[in-house]
Amino acid sequence: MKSAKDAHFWQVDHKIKKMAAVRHGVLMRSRDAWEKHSWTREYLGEKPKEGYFVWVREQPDGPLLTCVNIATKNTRQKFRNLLVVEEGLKIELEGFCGNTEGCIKGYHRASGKIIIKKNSSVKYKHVHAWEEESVVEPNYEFLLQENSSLDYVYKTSRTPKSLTVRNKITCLKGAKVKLQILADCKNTRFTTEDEIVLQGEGSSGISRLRLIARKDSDIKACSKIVAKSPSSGHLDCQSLVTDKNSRVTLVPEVVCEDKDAQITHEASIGKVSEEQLNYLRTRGLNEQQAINLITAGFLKV
Amino acid sequence: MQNWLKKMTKSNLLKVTNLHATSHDGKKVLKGVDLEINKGEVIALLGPNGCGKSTLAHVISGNSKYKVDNGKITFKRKVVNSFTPEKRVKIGIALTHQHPPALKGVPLSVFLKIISKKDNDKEEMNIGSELLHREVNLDYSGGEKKISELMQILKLDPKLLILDELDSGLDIKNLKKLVGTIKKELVSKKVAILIITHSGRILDLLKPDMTCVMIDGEIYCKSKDYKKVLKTIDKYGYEKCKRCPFLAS
Repeated sequence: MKSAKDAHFWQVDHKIKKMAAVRHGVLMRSRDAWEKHSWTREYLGEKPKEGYFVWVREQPDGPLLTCVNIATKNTRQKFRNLLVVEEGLKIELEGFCGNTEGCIKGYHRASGKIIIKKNSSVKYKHVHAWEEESVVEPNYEFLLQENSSLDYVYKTSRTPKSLTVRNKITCLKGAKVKLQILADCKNTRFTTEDEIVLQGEGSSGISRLRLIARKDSDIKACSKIVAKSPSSGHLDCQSLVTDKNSRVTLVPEVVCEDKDAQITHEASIGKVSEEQLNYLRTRGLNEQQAINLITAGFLKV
Repeated sequence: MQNWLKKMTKSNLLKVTNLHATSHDGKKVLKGVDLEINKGEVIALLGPNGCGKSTLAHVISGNSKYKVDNGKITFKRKVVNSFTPEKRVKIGIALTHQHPPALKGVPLSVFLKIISKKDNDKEEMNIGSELLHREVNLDYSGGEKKISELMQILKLDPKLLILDELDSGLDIKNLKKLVGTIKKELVSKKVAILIITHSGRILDLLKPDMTCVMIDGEIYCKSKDYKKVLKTIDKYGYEKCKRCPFLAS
């Protein structure tokens, strides 16, 4: 997404700036969906105040784009979103949330459900860039029906003072998920809790976390995979600490409830390697440029 | 030509004087090294494992893992002991690493653009094009690492190149190819080369102007005839090099 104007859905503070007609399905406010399509109430719960509903019914010819900004100080957004992808489709989603230039404080809470029906695949890139005084809490649940797949990347390039990310993903028979959480934290209290439930036979899940703690950051990452059937899963949590006043806690948890399931995990917290730093300095980069290059590579999808 | 003018024109590019250095674990590795390299000269440094050859290379390039206890490193008439590694690169000192680390998530093509000192850097390289899309040194074979190292060095436009065991892990075909590139891109442009090696293969190809032998942190002998040095080492071993009657020069 080059500009917010390219988005199908664009909201600033509480005002919807753009809601494009989509040929391949339905895009509307989630409160309107709650009124018009009663079946959505099962997922949305109470009538939402704000948020969007995307119902993809046919194969789209390009990615679906959403953009949510806070431009006015102390704005409190409370989104409730619903995305439903019908059977046998292959879609790409890109979502961006962040402050506009000059606005350093806001509250962004977003909860949502994403239903991916049989044999569909979704690639979802979710990018956050928030200013220092903001408080941000995205909380998403994904349901992957039979033989569907999800490739979800949550990346935050500028972190607010408080960021809490929650993702729960349930995989039915044969469904596959790859979840990646990539965060470069500065002056941030960052909590991430993700859980993949391998409900159906032959399902699989990978959770990959790459977290960098800089400048007085405190990161806590709880990553869990539960195997309830013959399935396979892997947790891969890695973190870099580049600052003496930062702290990282990684809590990988694997739960196996089926004797034919295979779940593995690896977790590590380290500093930027002296060997790499020296190497890059003998290529003419100064220490900060070298750290930036190493951390950018570390966060690469 | 006046004597002083001769002296000026023949002044050393690199001059290492009575260099003592200690590794991070407190071990004295260099114990009074003296070495001079002039512009366009090719110097070979031989020595047994652990004698301090690679340490010397890293100390010259400014690796903070080693502490210089005494002595001077002069490059282009400036004492560079206090220079950071990046400043040494800027003035023309470059090193190919024996065991370069991998840089995850950084394609070689991107890395070459980042480090390039050349203003108009559009020239095609005749080596390593197959590595460009791969992440730097990640899962490279021994030979691929050497090719990648040389590709990087060419972007740094060095005045002095230190080749730390460039020939180890390279088959003869690739070694010839790399040496061909070194001759074409560096030796012909009067770049000084310090070759650190165990074997004579690379010396046969690069024909050094001077060959030195380092033992236990000191340079014991220097000779213009690398074949004679290799032959002596082969016959007597490094242990007897200190007392070698043929090499005093």
